Amino acid sequence: MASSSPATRLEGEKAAATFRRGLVDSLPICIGYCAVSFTLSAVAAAHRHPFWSGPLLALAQFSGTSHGAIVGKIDFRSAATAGFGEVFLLCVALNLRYALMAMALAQKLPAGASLRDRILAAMSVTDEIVAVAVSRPFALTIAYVGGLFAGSFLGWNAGTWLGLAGTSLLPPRFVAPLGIALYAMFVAIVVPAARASRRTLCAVVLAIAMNLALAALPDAVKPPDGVSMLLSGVTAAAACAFAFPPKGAGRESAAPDSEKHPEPKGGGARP
Amino acid sequence: MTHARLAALVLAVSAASFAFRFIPMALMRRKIRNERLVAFIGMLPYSILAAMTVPAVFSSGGGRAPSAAGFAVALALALAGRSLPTVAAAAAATAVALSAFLN
Repeated sequence: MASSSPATRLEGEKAAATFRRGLVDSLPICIGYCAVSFTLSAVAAAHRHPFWSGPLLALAQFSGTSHGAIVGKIDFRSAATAGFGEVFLLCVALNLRYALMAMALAQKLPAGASLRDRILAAMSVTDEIVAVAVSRPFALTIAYVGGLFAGSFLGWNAGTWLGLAGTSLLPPRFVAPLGIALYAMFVAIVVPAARASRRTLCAVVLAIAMNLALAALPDAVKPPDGVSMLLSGVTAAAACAFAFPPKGAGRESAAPDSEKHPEPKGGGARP
Repeated sequence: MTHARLAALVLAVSAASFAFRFIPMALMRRKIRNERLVAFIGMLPYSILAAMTVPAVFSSGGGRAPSAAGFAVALALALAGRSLPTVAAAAAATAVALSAFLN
């Protein structure tokens, strides 16, 4: 998708044309999001979520991972489903990365961007949108980011609604196995990042090992699933951040950035 | 968990999600200098997603065998550098096909 935009400056271009350019570049994200949110609606239906929760989630918070955590962890069929605090903390931990992504995007915006522009840019922060936006060869304008946001947001919301319609038509036998798409999405996000950085690979392996160990505990002392995941993930990331030496005394070197760059790409520069 | 609590959770998560995106966008123009902190925050989503995936993935695809097969397909395609929708669709298709075949 990078090929469609020549390395030109957009200053002379009208805002509407720049918006359309963003919209066109968002098309792969739009299609990808539509597919993923479709399957999340299938998971929500399997877990007996009320019909309004998916559309409300998709409208109010543009984050596939916390949408996935909420529909995945809360199961109205089970009395032992995850609780409010557990899922909320899990979503907070999952959303922490958006703070980094927002910083990356903020540094590509025009210096004098208004508060309204910054609110729109903040709403646009997802792994895929930031990956596409920061990899553009031209200076970003808010119109371009708005175009990326509009297409992606539309895809995500449309997929949520289509998923609701689809799962009410499909027999549960076909819908239940779709739940794996959520975890496949996680795999697609984690694997490229773990390949790009040994430190991240180490954190990923450690987190899985810890979580398996916690899951093997007897029921009497076993923490709730969500707590185990958080504990494993946070501990593993902290341990690897401290176990691996900081990248040399040369702070101005590209070292910290070379650890950071895989993230946007990891989200899928080609969704 | 009641439906009212679910609604409250959705709104709370939405507020937190927006705050995380907006506060750095509005306030922080400089990079975080502490390299260990940058590394920690950078790795956090991946380590948490990994823990969310294993072992939960093995009971996600409508049975153990279809789930394991779907997970294997997802890993193989992700290692081959395929895109997110491709990985998700192929894993789901594998699990659906295998569970239909096994039943």
